[in-house]
Amino acid sequence: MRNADFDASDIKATCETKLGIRFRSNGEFNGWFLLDGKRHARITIPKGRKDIYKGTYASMARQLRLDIGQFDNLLACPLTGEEYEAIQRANIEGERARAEGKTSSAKP
Amino acid sequence: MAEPLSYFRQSEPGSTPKATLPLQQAPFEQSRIDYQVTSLLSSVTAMQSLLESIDEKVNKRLGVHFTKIHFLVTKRLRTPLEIILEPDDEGFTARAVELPIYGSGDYPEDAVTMLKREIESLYQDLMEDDDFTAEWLPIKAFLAEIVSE
Repeated sequence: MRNADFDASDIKATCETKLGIRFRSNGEFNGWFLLDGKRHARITIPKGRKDIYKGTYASMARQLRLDIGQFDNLLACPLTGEEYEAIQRANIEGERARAEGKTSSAKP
Repeated sequence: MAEPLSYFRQSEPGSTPKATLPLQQAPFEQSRIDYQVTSLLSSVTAMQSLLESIDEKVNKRLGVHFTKIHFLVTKRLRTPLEIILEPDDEGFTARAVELPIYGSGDYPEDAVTMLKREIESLYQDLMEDDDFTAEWLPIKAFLAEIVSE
């Protein structure tokens, strides 16, 4: 976990540039990642906080539906916006396959 | 322990099995089975409470607290929402068990207040329209059910 390497503004900037997230500033910075034009993942970045605690960092990774390693890579550059999108599509396919598996196993 | 099925014999395939035990032994067997089921159930209950107490001790040691909130910042909840409050480095993180949001802060109260604001903010986002992926539908339904204007 590389929470010590990034602060809130780094995370916000990466989300904006790589993922095209547009943040609103209510209490905190909230923004949606759009997949095929639909709101897919919603991230919250705490306002007025420079350091990101471990649990907060993990929560932001979960909000983007990434594991910690993938989130580290997103922030540290190796993971591109296109690769992030591919992960999300794979996640959706996986969830759909699991749901269909459950449905078919429930049938007599 | 004797195999229970050995006490039964089918006279014809598909017909109802008939007990072949002598009449005076059948109630004894039944009460023995009842006793075993009862003692198994009490063992399971004892193990459940043991696990719960271990869980409680572990959470206490880690500083994890489960609590329920009844109000948001400007709205109220029809049913209390369970949240988890835990130490996070030098501060605290609050999470809602059923929702993909969190609150963080230097003090527990700050984390819970941020979480409450986040719930309201997510509620407003989701109530705007249905222009989001399918994973959000159950969350929208859940929030529509518990949040009162």
